[in-house]
Amino acid sequence: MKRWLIVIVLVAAFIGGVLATGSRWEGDVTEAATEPLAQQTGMEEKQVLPWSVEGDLLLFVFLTGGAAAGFAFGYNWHKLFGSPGNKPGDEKREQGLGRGVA
Amino acid sequence: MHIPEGMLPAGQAAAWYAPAAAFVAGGIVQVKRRLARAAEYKAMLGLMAAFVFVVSLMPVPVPGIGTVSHPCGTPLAAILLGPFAAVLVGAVALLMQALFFAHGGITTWGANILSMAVAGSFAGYGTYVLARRLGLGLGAAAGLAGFLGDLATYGVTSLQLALGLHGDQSIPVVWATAFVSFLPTQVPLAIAEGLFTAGVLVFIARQREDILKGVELAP
Repeated sequence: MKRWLIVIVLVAAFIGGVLATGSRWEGDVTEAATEPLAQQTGMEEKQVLPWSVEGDLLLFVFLTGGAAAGFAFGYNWHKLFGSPGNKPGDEKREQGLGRGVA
Repeated sequence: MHIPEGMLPAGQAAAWYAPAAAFVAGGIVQVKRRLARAAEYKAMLGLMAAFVFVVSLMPVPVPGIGTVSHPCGTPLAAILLGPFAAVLVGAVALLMQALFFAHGGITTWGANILSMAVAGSFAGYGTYVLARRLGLGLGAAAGLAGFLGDLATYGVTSLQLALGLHGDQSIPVVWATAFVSFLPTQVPLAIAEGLFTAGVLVFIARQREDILKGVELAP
């Protein structure tokens, strides 16, 4: 319980700090570091792929990619660290999702 | 550290592919060997692949700085999977990000593999092994590995930018300028990556110490 409280306080402090600074949070730090150098040498970002992912499509692929990675992470986590109460024959498993329901 | 598409001169972008390919080939060999030795390696490989893909794509805002950046995940992957296998995992993540997530690029894929996958993995793994041999505890060694692996990634990115975009200036000056410009954003994230790496290793040591049997210098 105490650990969870510490985690919650840290996350709240982080989010509070982010919101309090009021920045627009635009641009990856690499872009910020690269652009001045690129301007000096006349280089600029190019599109090589025949497609571009922008706007809502980018949001969609981020969500889809995040969900897919989340499922993969959870699946493999369960294989490695699956809860002791989730083995065949265990009481919790036999109850399934109906646990506590008449 | 995702250098955008077309930002490096074509010759240099192509040249970074050669060492990257060698490390990726080493990764394929290491994965094959370890899969043959331990059945659960496959699950750890899947776990770390998903982890590296997500954390290296996640734009984390740093309060007070105003820019976003991301952790690498490769130091932790290198400790758990082996450094070459972590390069393979990082390379696949970077390819997916370049193709579908507007992060990095195909022309800069080799350079990005060298920074995040190779430098992050080997700096992290090397730090971990050295720290353990010097007698540091598992958590402290892993924490230091996460911190230095993260910063090494951005050190190599700065070098790649300096080599490609130095113009009339000297390469060391451009490297230092680029690296220093990364630090305000990246140091807090490197600290967070170090804490996370330490936390995961300590968690695994407590929950399933047997998983760490294949990990060098595990408790």
